[in-house]
Amino acid sequence: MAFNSLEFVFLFLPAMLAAYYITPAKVRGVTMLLGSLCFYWWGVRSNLWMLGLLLGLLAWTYGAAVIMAWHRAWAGTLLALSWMVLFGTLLFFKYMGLFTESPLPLPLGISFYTFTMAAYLADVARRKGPADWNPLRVANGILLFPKLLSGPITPLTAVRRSCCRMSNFNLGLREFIWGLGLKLLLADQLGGLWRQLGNIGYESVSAPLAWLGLAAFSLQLYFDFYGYSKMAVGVGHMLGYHLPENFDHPYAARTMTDFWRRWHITLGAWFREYIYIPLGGSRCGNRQHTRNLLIVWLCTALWHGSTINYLLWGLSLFGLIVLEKRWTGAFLRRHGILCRFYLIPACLLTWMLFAIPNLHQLWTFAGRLLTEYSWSAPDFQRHLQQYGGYLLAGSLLATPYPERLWRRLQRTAFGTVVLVIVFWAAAYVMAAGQNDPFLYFSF
Amino acid sequence: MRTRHPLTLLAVLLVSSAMMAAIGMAIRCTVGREVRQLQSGPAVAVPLMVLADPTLLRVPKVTPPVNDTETLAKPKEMPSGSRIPSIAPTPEAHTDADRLEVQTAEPPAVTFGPVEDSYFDDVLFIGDSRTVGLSQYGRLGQADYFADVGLTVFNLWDKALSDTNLEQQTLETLLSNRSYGKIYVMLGINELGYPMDSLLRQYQSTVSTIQKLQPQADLLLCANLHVTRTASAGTSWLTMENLCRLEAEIKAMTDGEHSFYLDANPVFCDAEGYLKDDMTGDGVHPYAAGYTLWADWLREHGIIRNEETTVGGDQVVHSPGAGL
Repeated sequence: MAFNSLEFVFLFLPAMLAAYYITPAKVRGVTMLLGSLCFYWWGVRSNLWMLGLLLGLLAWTYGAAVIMAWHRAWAGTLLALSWMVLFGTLLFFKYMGLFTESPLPLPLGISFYTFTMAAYLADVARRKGPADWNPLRVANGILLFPKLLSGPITPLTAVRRSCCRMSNFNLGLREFIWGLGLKLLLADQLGGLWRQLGNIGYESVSAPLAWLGLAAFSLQLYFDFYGYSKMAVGVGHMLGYHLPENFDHPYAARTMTDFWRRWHITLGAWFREYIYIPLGGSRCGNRQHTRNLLIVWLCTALWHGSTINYLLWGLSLFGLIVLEKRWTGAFLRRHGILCRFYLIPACLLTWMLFAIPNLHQLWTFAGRLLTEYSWSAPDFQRHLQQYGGYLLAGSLLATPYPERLWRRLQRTAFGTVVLVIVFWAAAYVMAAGQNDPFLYFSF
Repeated sequence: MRTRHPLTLLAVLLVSSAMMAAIGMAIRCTVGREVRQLQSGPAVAVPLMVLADPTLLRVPKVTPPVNDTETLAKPKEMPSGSRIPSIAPTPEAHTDADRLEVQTAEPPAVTFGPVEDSYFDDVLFIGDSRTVGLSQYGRLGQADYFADVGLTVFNLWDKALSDTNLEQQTLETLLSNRSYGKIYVMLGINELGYPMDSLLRQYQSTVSTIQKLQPQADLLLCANLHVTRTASAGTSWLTMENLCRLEAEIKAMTDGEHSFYLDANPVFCDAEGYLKDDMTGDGVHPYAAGYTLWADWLREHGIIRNEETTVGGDQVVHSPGAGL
């Protein structure tokens, strides 16, 4: 069940909040767990084996942590074995398609909950965090439904219920509506432009339209994920949980290194904590440092997808980051305007590698970017007219300034009115897609 | 002005949701009682769905499901007297007796053959997103295009659209103010999720209204472009059976004298009638290059009357039956 669905917004979430707050505080953990299981069950009800897999891996994680705490001598071996089980399962489902024509569907949330489990076990093995003997707390730490399907990837020790205050609830509600609006009213609309380019056929798009499409995809990807993360954080706050933010205005960064510290923050933190630093991080010679960066970016590419374009994407980012660390980084950090002429095209071109799985089509599209430029190209004019407003709004909202203004306005009557309008506009978009018996096809 | 209470927002949302749910339940139990799409999902969404598509409430009673195999196994009989001219006839092996019979038989009153671009100067294309694509990537002559994404026979007369040579206006206004020689219509696929009988009734009504407003125009009812096997398998209503039934019913509405049936699917489809995977990015719409092929096909299948050919308006060229 997606956060941006009518069933979640008008059925599950109100019912969950009501049940949660009606339940006495001492047993709210049970309510939370049952709610999370219902949430996951609804999403996988046509493939119930996914729920079985999740519960199986959860049981393994709990048991392995308890045994590690009991028999310290076994910690290293158990950790290695557990990581093989967790990541072996992840890689099996992600890459099965390369070996069979009828692969099993990828279990919902597997890319996120395996990382959460792996982090917990690593912390227990390294004694950076205690093993939790309370199975309910462990289960809630992993299965918490706001973060189960798409993160943020949160250490179990960070998933603790704080006092349920009205101010937290209010904050959470506002964050949820804001995220819902970003996803439905901005990201999904911008996605229409990129989809249309695919429908036209890359060989037929003009150069300015190709760049416009890349810009739309870049913004769509950001607001889609940022919006979803905001909703997750908002639901967490409504339930009294504090989940970490996953984005910090990445398009305001000056270097690609900084960009990836602001984009999907929790994933970057995971790779830094459990891969990069154990390998030596940057506190080693240049060659080892470069090797460590390569390993991290290869793992990042593998995590994102199984097709070769993701590998190209990861390697391109690795190359840019190494260049910044060796030569260009200091210059870019000192020049706030010039760095935009580097970062924006670099983002667009690396996202191009991310967006197009087929290498032939990728080559075709890349070629279109460099064809003869004509601002009066009819396809460019047409799509600019249709999507220009969304692109402008997206470009503004990608900067930190609107958010600073919003922080002052959100608790005023004006802010409340804006949020009510955003909420019902988003509900309209959901309903319009629901209404269509052909899903969102519109021929 | 700061809001006094931290739960003001929640209160406003709860009250507005309760009102919407009440309205939704009222619609569901009254005018929307027989509309399938309004009966599932949260009641609060019902007013929003009606707002998004008011034609939902115009769809008549639910009729037997379209995947009734008995109904599909017995295609509707052609009305007597109807004559559907063949298009892109397949070459067949003829015996000498056959050839003699052909030579002595009268040539058909109307055939289809190659035409110049000027043939399309008095043409109006009416259709959905595929026709939008045709207007963008396969424009023909000075033709007008009354097309929009999601256009259906249910909302056709409510929409105000514009085109290169058209100001924004409804179809009724357009047909009342301009005179066309040929009108191409490609609609129906957006409506396949609705009861077939109501779709066909509305389609026939649309055809009748167009003919009433433009009695001089030849009406060409076009088969909807098919979709890929994957797109078809992903829904319960976009099946080949439904598409074929729709095509047969549309064909039956033509008389072969002033209304004709055209089917460009052989250009795009494989042997089983599905849109070829390499011709589309989303399983439904051809790539831009595909619209160019479609335009070329339309140029090859213009109306040719036996003793005269109309060309862009009043000019008439006499020909011995061959195209221009």
